[in-house]
Amino acid sequence: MTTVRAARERDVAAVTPRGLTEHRVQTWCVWSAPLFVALLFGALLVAGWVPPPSPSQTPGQVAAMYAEHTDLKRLAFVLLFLGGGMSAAFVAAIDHRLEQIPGARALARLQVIGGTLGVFAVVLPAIVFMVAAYRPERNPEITQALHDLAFIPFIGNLVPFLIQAIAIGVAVLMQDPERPVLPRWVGFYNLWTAFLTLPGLLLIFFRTGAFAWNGVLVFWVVATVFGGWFLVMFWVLRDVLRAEAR
Amino acid sequence: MSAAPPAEREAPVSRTPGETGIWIFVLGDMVVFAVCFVVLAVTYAHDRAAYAADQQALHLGLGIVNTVVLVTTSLTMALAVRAARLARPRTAVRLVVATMAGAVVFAAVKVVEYTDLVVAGHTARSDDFFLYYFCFTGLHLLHVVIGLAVLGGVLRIVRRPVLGRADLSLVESGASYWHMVDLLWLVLFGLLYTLG
Repeated sequence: MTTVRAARERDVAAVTPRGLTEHRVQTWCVWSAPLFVALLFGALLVAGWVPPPSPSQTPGQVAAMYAEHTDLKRLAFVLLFLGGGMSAAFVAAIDHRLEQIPGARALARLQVIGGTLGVFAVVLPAIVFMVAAYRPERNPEITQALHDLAFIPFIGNLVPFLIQAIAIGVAVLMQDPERPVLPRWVGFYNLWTAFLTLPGLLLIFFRTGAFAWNGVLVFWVVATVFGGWFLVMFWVLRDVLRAEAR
Repeated sequence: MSAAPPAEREAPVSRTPGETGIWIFVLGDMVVFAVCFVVLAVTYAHDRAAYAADQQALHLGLGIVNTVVLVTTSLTMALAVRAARLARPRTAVRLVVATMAGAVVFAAVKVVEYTDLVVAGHTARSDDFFLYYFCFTGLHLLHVVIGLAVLGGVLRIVRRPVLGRADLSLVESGASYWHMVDLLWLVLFGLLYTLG
């Protein structure tokens, strides 16, 4: 316990020759979360996809959608691409805390694995969206296939996030109640969040209704919970960092 | 038995049962179910006649049986918490086992209902009513199954002759979750079986 605390104090105090402190780097990593949310939802707004396009669109409608405001859509996909990279820094910020929980090493690793796959869960659809928007004049059926290939994993690729949230949830709940690194409710919150994203797994069965990729239980609940998770975790980690600096 | 000195009697203070964290889970889950309830209400408002017609296919009797079973398990669970607080492990164990038995009965009846509906040709593919019927009751059934695991954990705790404050808190957390499962069913039952 004392070694962990000593290591923590050393971390906070560590100053590089250029004056970049561990604390400052941690602060940047923590602030990547709201930036990620802003880029992700900003990209959806720029693409004109709030609410998202219906999965029941015909190939012609999908092609027409990409032919309209094509450059704005391309810009949106670049923002999405950058946003995916941004989330990597937040994975590192969470890892820093989980590493401090005695006995949670494997869970800390698991969080990094889930979070790393989570970067891909945003970056890969962004690339396929870019491909779809690259030649909007092509055969509409091909554009529709690319659109599906991007949209289905973009909304439905929840497994990385499940791994991440469950790893954090278990690690936080196994803490010594006397010396918590993160508040205990964060553990329940992460397990609940993991549970809530499960309806998203139903999206491939539907093109209309509440479980379609634009439906209330898949897009709106999952988007709110997912975006909200980054903001809540940001707030929690920022508080821990501030308390540490004092 | 000696009378407890007055100082040891706790004044009725306001207190959250279980640990605070479990309420994030419970309230959060209820918010999601609230969205499901709104989806059902919108489906009903959209085409009342179709909703009422589909409802005829449901087995109201089995629905009522399950409602009675689940409300009874809430009672046995509340009594189990009381027994645990009063340090009566044998009574508490019996009551938790009764609660778990009720959960198993509920799940079994649900399986009978599902089989019955599918044999009669009603599946999640039939229309919106049956899609939401299967998905929402399925989501609820998943809660019941998780609840069984939670109750199993509670059973291991109440078996001990002496319970600490933290143990009691865990028992209360489990009970809070179970009451939520019951409460959500009451609303689901009302909307699916009787609205229309």
